[in-house]
Amino acid sequence: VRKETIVLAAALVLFAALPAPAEEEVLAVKARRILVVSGPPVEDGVVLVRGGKIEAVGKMEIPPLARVIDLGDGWVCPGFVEAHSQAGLDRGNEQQPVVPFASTLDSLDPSAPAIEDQLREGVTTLLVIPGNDTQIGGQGILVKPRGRTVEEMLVRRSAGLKISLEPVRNSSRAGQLAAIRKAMKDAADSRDAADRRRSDGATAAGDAPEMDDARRQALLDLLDGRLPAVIYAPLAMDARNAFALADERKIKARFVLGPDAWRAAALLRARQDAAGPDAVLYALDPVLEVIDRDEDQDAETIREVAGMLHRAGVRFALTSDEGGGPSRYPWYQAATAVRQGVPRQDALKAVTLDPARFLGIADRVGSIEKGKDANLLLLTGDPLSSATWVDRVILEGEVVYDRKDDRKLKRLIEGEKAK
Amino acid sequence: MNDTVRLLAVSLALALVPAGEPEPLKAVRVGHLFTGKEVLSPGVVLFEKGKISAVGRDLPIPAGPGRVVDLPDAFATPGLVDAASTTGLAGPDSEMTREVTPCVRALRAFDPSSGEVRRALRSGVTTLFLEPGSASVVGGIASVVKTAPGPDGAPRVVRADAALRLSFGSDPSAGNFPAHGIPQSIYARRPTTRMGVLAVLRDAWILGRAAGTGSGDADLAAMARAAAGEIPVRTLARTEEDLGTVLRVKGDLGFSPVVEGVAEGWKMADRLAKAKVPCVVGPLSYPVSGRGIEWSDPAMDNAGALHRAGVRIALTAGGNSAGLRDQASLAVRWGLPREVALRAVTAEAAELSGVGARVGTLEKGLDGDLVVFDGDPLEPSSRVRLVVVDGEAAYESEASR
Repeated sequence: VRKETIVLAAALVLFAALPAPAEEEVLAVKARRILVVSGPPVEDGVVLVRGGKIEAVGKMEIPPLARVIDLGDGWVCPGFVEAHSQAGLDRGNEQQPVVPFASTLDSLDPSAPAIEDQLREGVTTLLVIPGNDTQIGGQGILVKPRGRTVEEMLVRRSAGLKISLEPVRNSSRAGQLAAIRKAMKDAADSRDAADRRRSDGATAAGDAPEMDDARRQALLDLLDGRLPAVIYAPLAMDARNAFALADERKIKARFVLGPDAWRAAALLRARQDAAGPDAVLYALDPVLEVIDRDEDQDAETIREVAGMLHRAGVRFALTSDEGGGPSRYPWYQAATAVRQGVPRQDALKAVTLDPARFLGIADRVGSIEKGKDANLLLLTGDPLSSATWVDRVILEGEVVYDRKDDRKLKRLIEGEKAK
Repeated sequence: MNDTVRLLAVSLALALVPAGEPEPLKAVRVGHLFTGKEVLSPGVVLFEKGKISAVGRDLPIPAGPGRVVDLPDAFATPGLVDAASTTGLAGPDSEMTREVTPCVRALRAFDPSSGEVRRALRSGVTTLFLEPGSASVVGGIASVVKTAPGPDGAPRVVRADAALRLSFGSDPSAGNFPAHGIPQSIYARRPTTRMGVLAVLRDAWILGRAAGTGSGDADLAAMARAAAGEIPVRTLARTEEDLGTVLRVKGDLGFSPVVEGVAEGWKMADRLAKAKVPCVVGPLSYPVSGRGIEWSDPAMDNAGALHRAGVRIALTAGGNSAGLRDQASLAVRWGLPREVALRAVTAEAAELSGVGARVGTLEKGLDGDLVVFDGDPLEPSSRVRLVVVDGEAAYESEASR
């Protein structure tokens, strides 16, 4: 007892001597296997976390005074990153088809069940962006699924402008593209006109330049390269149109591809090669298997989209949906890719580092590397196994989810007993 | 080699392996074999004339022609059985002109060459309990079929009269018009309430029973056969209320149905067990809105709760039989024991479909239906390598690449 007291006292003295204890506390997570994603896994290793960042990962001595979480046989992997989501929105799209000024910032409900579900499923970063039933649908925001207000959740405010090539009601494919092009041209023209008026010092009666600025700002940000486009291309042919649209205005663009994308594999690959060795330009729809009907041959072929694109050398982010089926789980989407022939490490990358690259935040999240945000999933085993549970989630160094305290999960499993 | 000898050799080869026809399977040897009852490691299945001729841990493989598949890392199970499926029905799955259509056969609308049936086959599902849709009080006759088309493209039927399909709850009443103000026509279907559904069912049951199995009216005759116990009865019931109704009218009308859906079974698992009502559970869905199908109270471990109470269960993927293995994986994730889940998509699914003597188990004399996975069959990441139906390779993964 006496010896323990001395040690405790010494520890307290040391602890008190540290500058900002809460901030600078070191957390050490010990695990059977650490899937760092950016490199080979570490067996029986440690992740050190300090000040919300990853300080080190590997086999190492745990520093004295570190708070230790020993997972025993548990595994650690980076938090999942969701590249395209409508979680927490009351509706996916505004009825008006051209609303570049709208932002999910004004629509995301931090207390929505779909947001609460994210941590339970291991998602620590997500792009919440308007849906695909639109022409220019508005801006998405990058959030972490924690916080009482959208501001607390925010990782990046202007994270992408949704453009969809899926024709809205009463529109044709060609009309859809014409409307999108017209909106871009109108924004550019009206800025030029406003600039001319300002330089002339003339204002027309009823003119409200601030209003015009607010309405066209998102499109101008897009045209000036400050805001990337997220272009939904449901058919393979839409990919070609999407590339043309991006290139003629020289805008930064990422592409969300429908299950027809396998037909465009060579085209997708060529653009990716031109963009550089780490570029991830594509996110895949949650539907990863389609029946392809060939009218000429009177035949149906089953296409495994993730496997086919992977074999063609196309890198992609996998996405999940908000429905009741298994494709709502990021681990299931990655497991499906494995079933289609994608190697396990690449499948895991497609729900972590690749979506982070797609979203342009790979410097902060997506892998377990020194200096990145400490967004970690503490798992009961292999993340791609249906038997594995997310046991705890560490978000920016803080344990924000613990399965043993998850009362909703208990209710989900057992049902609401009292009636 | 002179030409005559060469010709002779070629003819001999052609005689052994007829062009376009795959060489029949003789044996499959795998690292782990789930027989429907136990796991053998390793395990061997021998086939003869489309049937299983032997199953064992280390059987010698007989000499002679026939293909041997030897995959020491693989895991094989009986061909999976979806015990409540509408997969492959061309067009609408329910006959909507009347609410009682006992003589309608789902089999007549089944297209074994359709993409969704091929997806089911590729996923390892070899047998479907194929039933009419749920929008009628008495939907018609369900049949048990294989997912691999027969040699001439026709369905392989395991059991033509597998069950008379009934529906309880809101499915057969939702969307119907009240009769007043609308002439009696095909546009005015009766029941608009749960009690209406029961009234219609009682009418049909009593009329059928009175008419007898020899009735010249096909509908009455089919009802009569069900009432006489010649055809099993299958019914949909999801909520506690509707399951309670099944238990109540079971005695009244004198039938012993297999119940499917059973979303709120967890609330009354003890009653279902006591009444010895087998349940085909599913499909399982995450309650996005907080409620389950038909506004039921969800419990993701529904299947586990029923099993622990002693209810016999099979699992179903409903209209998407290719998702059957996911149903088993997810049931295990939420609490069902692994072996129970595997049995619920093989041996028990076959039993509850009335075809346990033909499929669902790897046993001498049963159909040669088997699936080989490259890993644990309960992991969604495992790939189907080979599907065998009636002793022939019906799908192989490498061929599809």
